Amino acid sequence: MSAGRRVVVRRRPPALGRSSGLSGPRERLPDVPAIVGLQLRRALRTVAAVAGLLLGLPVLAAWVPEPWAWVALSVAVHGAWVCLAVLQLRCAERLER
Amino acid sequence: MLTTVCVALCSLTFLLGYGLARMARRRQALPEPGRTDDATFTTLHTAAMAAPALRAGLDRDSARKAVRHLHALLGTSAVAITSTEAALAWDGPCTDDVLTYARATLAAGRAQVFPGERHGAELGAVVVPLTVDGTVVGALAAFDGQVSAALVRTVTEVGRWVSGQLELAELDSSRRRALEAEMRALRAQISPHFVYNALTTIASFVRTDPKRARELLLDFADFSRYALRRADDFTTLADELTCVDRYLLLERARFGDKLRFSMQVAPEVLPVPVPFLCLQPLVENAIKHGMRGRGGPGEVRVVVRDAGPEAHITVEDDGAGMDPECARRLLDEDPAREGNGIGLANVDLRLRQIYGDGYGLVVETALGAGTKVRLRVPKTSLSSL
Amino acid sequence: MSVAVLTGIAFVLVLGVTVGAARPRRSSGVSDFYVASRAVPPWWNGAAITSEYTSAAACLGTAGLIAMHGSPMLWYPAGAAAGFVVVLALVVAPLRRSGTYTLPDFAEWRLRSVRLRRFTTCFVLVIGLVFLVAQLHAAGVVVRLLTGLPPWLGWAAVAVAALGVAFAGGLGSVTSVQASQFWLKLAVFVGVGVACWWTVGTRPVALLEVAYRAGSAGLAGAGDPSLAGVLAVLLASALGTMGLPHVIVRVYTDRDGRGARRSIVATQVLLAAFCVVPPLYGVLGRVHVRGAAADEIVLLLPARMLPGVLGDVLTGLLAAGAFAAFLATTAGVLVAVGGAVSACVSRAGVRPFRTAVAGVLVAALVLTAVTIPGVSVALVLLGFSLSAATFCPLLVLGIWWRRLTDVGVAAGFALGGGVTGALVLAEQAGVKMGALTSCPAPVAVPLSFAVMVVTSLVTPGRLPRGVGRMMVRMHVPEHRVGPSAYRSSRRDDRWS
Repeated sequence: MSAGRRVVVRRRPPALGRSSGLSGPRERLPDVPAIVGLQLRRALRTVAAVAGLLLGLPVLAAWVPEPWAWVALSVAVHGAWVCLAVLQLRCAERLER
Repeated sequence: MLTTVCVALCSLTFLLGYGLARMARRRQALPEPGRTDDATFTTLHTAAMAAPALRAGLDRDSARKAVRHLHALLGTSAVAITSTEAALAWDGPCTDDVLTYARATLAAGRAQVFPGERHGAELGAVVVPLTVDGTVVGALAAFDGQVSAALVRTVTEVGRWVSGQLELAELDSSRRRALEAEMRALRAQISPHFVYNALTTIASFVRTDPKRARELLLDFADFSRYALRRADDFTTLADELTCVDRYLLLERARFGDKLRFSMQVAPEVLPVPVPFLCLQPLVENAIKHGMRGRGGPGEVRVVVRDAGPEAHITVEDDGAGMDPECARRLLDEDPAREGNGIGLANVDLRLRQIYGDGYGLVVETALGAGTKVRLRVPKTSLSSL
Repeated sequence: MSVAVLTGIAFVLVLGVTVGAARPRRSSGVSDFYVASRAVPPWWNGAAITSEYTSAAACLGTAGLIAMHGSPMLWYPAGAAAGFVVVLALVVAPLRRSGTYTLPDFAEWRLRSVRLRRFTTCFVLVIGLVFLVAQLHAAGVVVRLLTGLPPWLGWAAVAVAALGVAFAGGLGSVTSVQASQFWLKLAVFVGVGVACWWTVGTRPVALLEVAYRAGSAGLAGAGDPSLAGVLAVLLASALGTMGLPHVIVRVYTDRDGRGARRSIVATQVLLAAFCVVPPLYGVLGRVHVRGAAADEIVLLLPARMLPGVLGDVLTGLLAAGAFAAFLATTAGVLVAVGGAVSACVSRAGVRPFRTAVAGVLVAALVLTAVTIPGVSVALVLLGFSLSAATFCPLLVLGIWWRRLTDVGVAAGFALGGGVTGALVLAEQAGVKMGALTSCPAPVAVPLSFAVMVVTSLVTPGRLPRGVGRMMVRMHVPEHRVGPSAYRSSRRDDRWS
């Protein structure tokens, strides 16, 4: 086994103009674009549901000329908002775990 | 239709506000020159566009931003920037094998000219080194159909200009590093006196009340876990108050009922980011001055209020107070001095560095009248984000 | 006369609740230290948000509109509540994690532009003023209607009380003031409404005719009973909620992104509890109170249905609830707008903040004095439309899209805000262009989004430095940033 030539190894010079403090605990960070993508997809699904309900219900109600139905629907839709909110909360928190 | 009036007034207020904001920044209009020198203007303008990117240092990102402007400045068919190891960015028809051209320049530290035909390529190249403090950190390569002496001169000058910008970047960075080092030096250390006192107090309980001693030791462990951390310079007010609580548990063990403490907090400001260990030294100071030279009990009071865009914190003791001159000296002393832990001066200096000169500590005191230290923390400061 | 006395008592009652709740949390021993340094729980903050959100428009205006314009108005409260689902899904947690206190703070931090901060502050000021004027006018209406005194007494009462909360709230907890006012409001409005419903013999709901029809719209499309008009208003309120300065500033009170999300869910639940109020009063008012202005119908209802002492007492209670509503929203808006304006003018100090708060209040009072009281919903809706066309794109794109630039945002602001203003002014000047333009949101919001995106793409050189770090800060949950060993310890995480 012949020994190879020795090579001088030095610490790499830090990138010019960058403060060295930033490169410390960086690699611990999770993949941000993936997190953003997942959360955004989840959020858009909720927003789509809201938009559907919000614009769909008044249109649908036009075909039901029943006073009680209108009042009941306009109150019940708040229940739907609460459900959507709780669902969104649980999903968002699960994605963050 | 008086609602119209309302809408109109709203718009008017808006315009007024915007106008006022603009007026504050309005610059004096320059007299129009008789004849504008277009070429000079274009060259300087293009150079100015490239400068901000280069002032950030030499990396892939900044090179990509700068190379477009340098290309426009030189007017050759392609321009590339390399570091000592890789081609960072290029604009125009050339490939990432520019490094093969650059190698000679990087090794020699001198400009190299490659007339196109001889190297079997259609384009000729001029490669000049980029140096910072005499060290070659990269190369600037310009490719064009024919290499003229004028082009070599121009590229050399542009290379020198880029080197100048990079040197400024290095200067920025070393100034920042110096500031960071200063902050690190100022960064909180817990007072050795306190560690000594706490441990002797705990030791005194070990035989008489082992359970209490164990509790206190755990409190001490919690306190040091917080106080010795090196993660970052900011924490939340809630965490800082918890640290004060741990600290007080230990001090109470030492002073017993002689030390009275009260706290008043508006809960809205608990999430405000504050400089790490900015409150505990003030409480420590208050206890030191409040308890010194008195037989009876002393009281320390912490009040945290919500003041719109800021949080206001006061730490007050009813102790002996001090001569205002003495307080001024305390604030002026060199904060890096060893031995006293973090004094008022240290907290004061850090607050000023982070938030500006308007945010230093304010000490109200007189002989025999107790001492009150006030500090203000803005809810949002860009440096804490 | 008895009503006058009762109204006075009502006002004093609200003040008492305010002062009582503002008491600071004290601790004098180490043992109860944790009580004092405990963060505001999400439920409590949710109640405060709901309190500031259910302003004069929600309490008096919507019910009045249902009574005046009929069933299509039933959907308005649903749109306002839907706004919080959108806030929850798209905005709240990243905004809290960004650590910025006001909308201008966010704009400056995210796009690194001081000029954009000033521009944003202008819009915050306009939206805040619109809200304040709506509250003050409603207070004037209450005072004039119930006591016969000049309306400026009502403005003055609300203004002074709100100024007091904004100035002195510093030591105590503004959150508990707002939250207790919400519970007062909820109890009063639901209680009195149910009492009235109980005593009525007939089935008033059957008398409600349900159909969309063409009709004239008020300022910003409020009260337009056509289907397109209703949908336009719903869009404005669902997207405008996220940009209301007093709602956004509350998010800062939560401990972290997770707490902020939970606050918004709490808000949603409490709003759902409050949502029976507008249809209840609207349906009753349509039957029993004829020929009154929209904001007066709710207040006139108990006396019309139950003449005598009981009616007077119920009216007095309603007045208390209404004052709680005015006070909560006025104080919230004042603090938020004052903070934004003072931070824009000068960086430091509590004196600029107080000056700004006083200045904003004076401006609102002047605006109130030179305008006549219209429908409170209309003014609030104007605020919503403006916010939807400016702050909604800023927040949504700023949080989710890396390539947003300050030039893009400024262009979007100018165009979105400009189109909104122009359409509203044109409508007021008598230019009718159909239901979709009487409420400007369906035109202005997509336009503003498009302009921001296109302008940002065209100006990639203005991309702020450190976008990557901002995205990390906004989207990575707190517990996953940094080594957990550096977290300060809590009482309950000792293993022994």
